Amino acid sequence: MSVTEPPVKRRIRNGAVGLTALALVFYFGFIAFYFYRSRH
Amino acid sequence: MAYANASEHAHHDTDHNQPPTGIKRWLFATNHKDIGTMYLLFSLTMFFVGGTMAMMIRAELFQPGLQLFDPVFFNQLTTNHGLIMIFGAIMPAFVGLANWMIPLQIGAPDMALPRMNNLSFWILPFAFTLLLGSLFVPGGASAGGWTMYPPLSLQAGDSFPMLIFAIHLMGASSIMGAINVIVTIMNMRAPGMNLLKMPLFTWSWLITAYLLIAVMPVLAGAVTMLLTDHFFGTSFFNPAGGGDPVMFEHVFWFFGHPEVYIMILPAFGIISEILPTFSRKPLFGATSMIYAIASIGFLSFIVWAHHMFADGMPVAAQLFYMMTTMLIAVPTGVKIFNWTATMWRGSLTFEPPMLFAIAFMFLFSIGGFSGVMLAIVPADFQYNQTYFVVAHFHYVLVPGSLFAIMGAVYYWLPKWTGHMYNMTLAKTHFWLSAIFVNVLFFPQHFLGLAGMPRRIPDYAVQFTDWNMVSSIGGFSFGLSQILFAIVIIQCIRGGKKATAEVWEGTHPTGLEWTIPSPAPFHSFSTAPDIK
Repeated sequence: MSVTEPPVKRRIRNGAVGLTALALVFYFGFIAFYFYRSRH
Repeated sequence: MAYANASEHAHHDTDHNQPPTGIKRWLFATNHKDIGTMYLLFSLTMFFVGGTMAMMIRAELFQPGLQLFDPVFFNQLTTNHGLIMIFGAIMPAFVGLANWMIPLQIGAPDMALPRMNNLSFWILPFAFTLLLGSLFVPGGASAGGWTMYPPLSLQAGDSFPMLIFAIHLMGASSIMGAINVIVTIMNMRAPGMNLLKMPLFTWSWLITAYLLIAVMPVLAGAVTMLLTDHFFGTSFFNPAGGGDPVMFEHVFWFFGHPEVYIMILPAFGIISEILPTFSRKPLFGATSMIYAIASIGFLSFIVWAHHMFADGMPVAAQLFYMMTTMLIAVPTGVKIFNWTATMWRGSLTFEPPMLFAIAFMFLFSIGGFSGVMLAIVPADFQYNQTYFVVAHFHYVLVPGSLFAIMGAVYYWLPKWTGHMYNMTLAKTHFWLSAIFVNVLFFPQHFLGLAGMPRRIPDYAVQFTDWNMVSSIGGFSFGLSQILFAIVIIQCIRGGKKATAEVWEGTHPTGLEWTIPSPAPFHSFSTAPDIK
């Protein structure tokens, strides 16, 4: 299966978007958690 | 594993698409080999920049008293030496190796996201221009240590936002690199290459990439909070406003400890490639190696507070972090055992990559042992903030990570350039490095146990002798690295032609050895079949 085939391209795109979302969750998640902790 | 039609692929690969010429080849590079080369050259440059700072530190510490620098500049040197070596030398070197070797090892034509690959490299020169540029702003560069603990780090001048932005850029670069590695490995393996058939270097990078995605955003979050505390009146880490500086330490080390493994797991992968080749035997316990790397990756997330024992914490927490930290010795021991068993009754030869791999096994273990000592809570109270800690992490990072990188360069350089390098010079480089790295760092154990604190430009006279020995080792180790650069430059410029197998008679396993040397600009345009 070639990387130019739509299913593979879709999997690559979904993988990249999913991992980016995971990174953003860690970034904003920790800030939100510390925001909560610093007020209590 | 068997590979079908290797020569047919090799022939096919050389027929088309020559690389673009001139500066555009590098500025707009999307080819994984070109980007890998840029990463590696960038890393080598930063290694010498960070190394120059190390030489300056050792020159100041050659004898007690203030000789060369004022204390603030000394602290700037230690801070920036750490940041440059971690984020500028070790990490980009591993990303460069990943870019070069992962597509070749899994039979892919390139990385899955080549344009993002270009971006993730070209961010780095800007990041390090900012970081190094901060040395020249009023007040000088940040001097609060690479760990940037508040409130000290918040007292920096104009360099502070430069440092924070530089770290954000490095983090973004690393995250993009990690995303690229994961989607490449998960989607672009050659038909028949299931996960357990994947080479160990690729495996180690897959796990490392997940660690990167989990922890680099945490570092970015931590420094963002420092930034808002400094400029926007928040109190995340300021007790006066309801915050807590110890919270920074927690969030920093939640990043920082997995970061340690980010800098060593790919090294484990490299050693697992080199040892079987020069032992002429398959890797002993390959599957257990994968589980060991994954276990170390998992454990790295639940040990962070061992960096903070001296801060004070409940006894239950001390016990938990002590036990989990010691637990890491188990999968690490599995790896050392498997490497030893791989060499056992092997037909060994001692080419430069093998020499670096064997030195790695011995010297990394010394760093591992001192790590277990530091994990013992009451002992840590004694060792904390002393040169013993400096000796420990330098043993892990220099004859550990750095020796693995050098071993990898010596292993794959003929594949990259198409030339064999000067073996005598490379072996000389190895022996000088292996001897002087011990002269440099081993006495620091004694200094630390005797009570010499780290991050100081001056010290009590009883520490003089071992500091002089350490500095002599440091200058000698530093000068030895010029040989490394000479070997690489000579090999790029010419030399005896390397064959596709490169290491004749060892029959190295892996798809990278089925393509010609130098590796053609495009490889595996047609995926190979893995039996």
